[in-house]
Amino acid sequence: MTHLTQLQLSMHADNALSADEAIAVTEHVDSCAICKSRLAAVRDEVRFIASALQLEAPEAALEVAVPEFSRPMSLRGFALANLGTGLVIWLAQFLWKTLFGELIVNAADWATSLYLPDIYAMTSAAALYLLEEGTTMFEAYLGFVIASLFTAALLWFLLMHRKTRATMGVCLLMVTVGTIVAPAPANSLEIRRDKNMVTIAKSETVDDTLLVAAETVLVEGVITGDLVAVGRSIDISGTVEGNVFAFAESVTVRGKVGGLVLGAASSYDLRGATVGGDLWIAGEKLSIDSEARVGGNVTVGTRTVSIEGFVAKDLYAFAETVELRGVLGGDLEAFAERVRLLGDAHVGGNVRFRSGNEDRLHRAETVRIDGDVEFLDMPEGFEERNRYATVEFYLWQVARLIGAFVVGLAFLWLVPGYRFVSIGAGVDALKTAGIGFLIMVSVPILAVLVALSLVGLPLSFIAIVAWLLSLYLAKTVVGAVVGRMILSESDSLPLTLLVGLTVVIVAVNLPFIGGIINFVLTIVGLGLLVQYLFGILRARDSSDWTPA
Amino acid sequence: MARNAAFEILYKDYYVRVFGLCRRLLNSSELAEDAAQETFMRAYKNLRKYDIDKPFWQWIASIANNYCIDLLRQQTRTDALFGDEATELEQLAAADTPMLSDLIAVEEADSLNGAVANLSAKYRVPLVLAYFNQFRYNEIAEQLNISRTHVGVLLLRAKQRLRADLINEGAEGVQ
Repeated sequence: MTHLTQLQLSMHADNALSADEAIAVTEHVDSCAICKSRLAAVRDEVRFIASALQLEAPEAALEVAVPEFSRPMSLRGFALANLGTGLVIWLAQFLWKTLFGELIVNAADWATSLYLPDIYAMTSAAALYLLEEGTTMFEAYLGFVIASLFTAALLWFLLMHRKTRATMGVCLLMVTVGTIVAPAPANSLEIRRDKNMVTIAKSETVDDTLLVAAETVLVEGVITGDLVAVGRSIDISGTVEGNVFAFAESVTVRGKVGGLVLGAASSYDLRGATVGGDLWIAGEKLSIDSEARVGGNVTVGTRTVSIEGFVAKDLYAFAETVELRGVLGGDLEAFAERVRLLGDAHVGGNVRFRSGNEDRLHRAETVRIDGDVEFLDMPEGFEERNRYATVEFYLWQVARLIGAFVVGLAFLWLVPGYRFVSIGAGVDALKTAGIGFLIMVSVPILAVLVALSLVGLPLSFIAIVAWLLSLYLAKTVVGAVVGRMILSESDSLPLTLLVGLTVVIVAVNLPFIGGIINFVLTIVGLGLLVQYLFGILRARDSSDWTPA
Repeated sequence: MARNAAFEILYKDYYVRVFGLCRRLLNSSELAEDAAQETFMRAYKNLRKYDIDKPFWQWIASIANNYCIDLLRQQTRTDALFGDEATELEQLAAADTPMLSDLIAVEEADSLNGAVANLSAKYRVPLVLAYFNQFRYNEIAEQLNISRTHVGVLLLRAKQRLRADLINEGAEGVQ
């Protein structure tokens, strides 16, 4: 009989023959002593080779030094690094330049919009207290904010690129260079504070931006920069060449202001004042007397507005009562209970009155209106129209989809971990939604509380920006999850994201239930965002304790 | 991120084995170092494709194999790195050469390893995959893009070469 070939023996020894072949070989081996011994020899040899190969391996391994793993320098890492560096530089510059101007003003403006009784007295008292108690606070303010920003940014980099020292080095270098190169604030700052009264005397000229806080602030001299004033009563009879930001129970402007006037007060009076720029006022009462002139627009949210003087451009009034006796160069747009046009009032443009009731517009015989008078329904009226019947609605939704798609793609590319989050089922989903709801409610409240301390203003500002961003990203993340649920087989990120976002956008626009869906999706998305973020941190902490 | 930390651990645990495999396949420590780095780089980029139910070693070893085999193919500048099945079959030596296990003792594993290093890539690669990596023929066939029988033939030829090499060495030793 024919013996088994070498190949048969070798493959059989390696268990590599098909089932049929193996059976045939086994049968032959059982009846043939020669092949049996050959097979045994082949098996021995294989074992020998395997053990010899393994034997050498550990010896060689001893000599092998494990080099540091150099993570691929991906485009994503590079983009992240640049984005982070840019953000830090931008924030640092932004803070330097605008901290004392816009941030404080915006927050105070926002606070006054709440219409709480005596909010002006409260905030000015709080500001006074802070200024009196913490002399060094404002001096250390900038340093503190920037240092904490840097720390936060560095922490963030450490978390993102724990091992890439090169990236971190580059970033640090760029931040340092950026901070040095970045232009210092154009105006320097002078701070004056006093419990009772601060006076800028007639003969005095302040060559800087002036930050002043006192019970009573009197400005009789000249300020070449901006004026930021907080107090109970503020009276400006001198000249401010820049802008005026004034917050107090009562603000009176009699002198000249080169820029805009922005502020909030129970009563804001312009008596014979000349304002070069716009006027932005919130509070109880705004009056512009017959001698006063405003070079720009007037935007006002107070209970009563009374204008006897001259306004060069438009007037936007959100008020209970608007009274106009003076001259308005542009349009009058009023969201108000009552509008009274009295005496020799003259409106250069149109009058748009957001009220369905024409009786609420009182117009004296002598009043001149060069344009038209329009009555528009209040905004609620628009809601009653069928929004699904307009082309704009669909165009807007497509634009929204494209926006969300592009943002989502960029986001998931930068933070690929979010591609794989899932909502889970039952209790998990509820937990996610619960966390999302808490974040949605608690962040703004906390931000307001922190903002009230004034020192925390930048922090709360950052928190609110992050919160708004998260609200937007929440639905994108949910869109990605939904897309993966629908196209579970597809590996294409753009496709799943597009499908998911389309479903989400259609769902939130459904009549009647769209609002609820929108709310639920938003809190679920927020929950996912936050859980993932903390998931990362937890995993990191625990991995540090794992022996390598 | 969590992924980075986890990967760091895997890297430390598997580097030596991956390096060993690459060195076997490429027959060079220098090339193997680069190959091991490249293997982990590829693994890092494709970590999301890793099926968590399968052993990590199997996955990373196949990445290493792919890379090393590609490298060897580039070196030989021909697609037929593993020759033609029929030609290889014809070249099988007669059946009566003594077995390796009869030629040397286990303690002399060094000389066997030296002989393995002397094998051309054509025989070394399947041998390492089969007996060092403990891959099955099917897996090797898939990886090398050849048939299962072709794998068997190459392995058999590899063993014959090793035997011949060791016989020659023995003869030189006697002289």
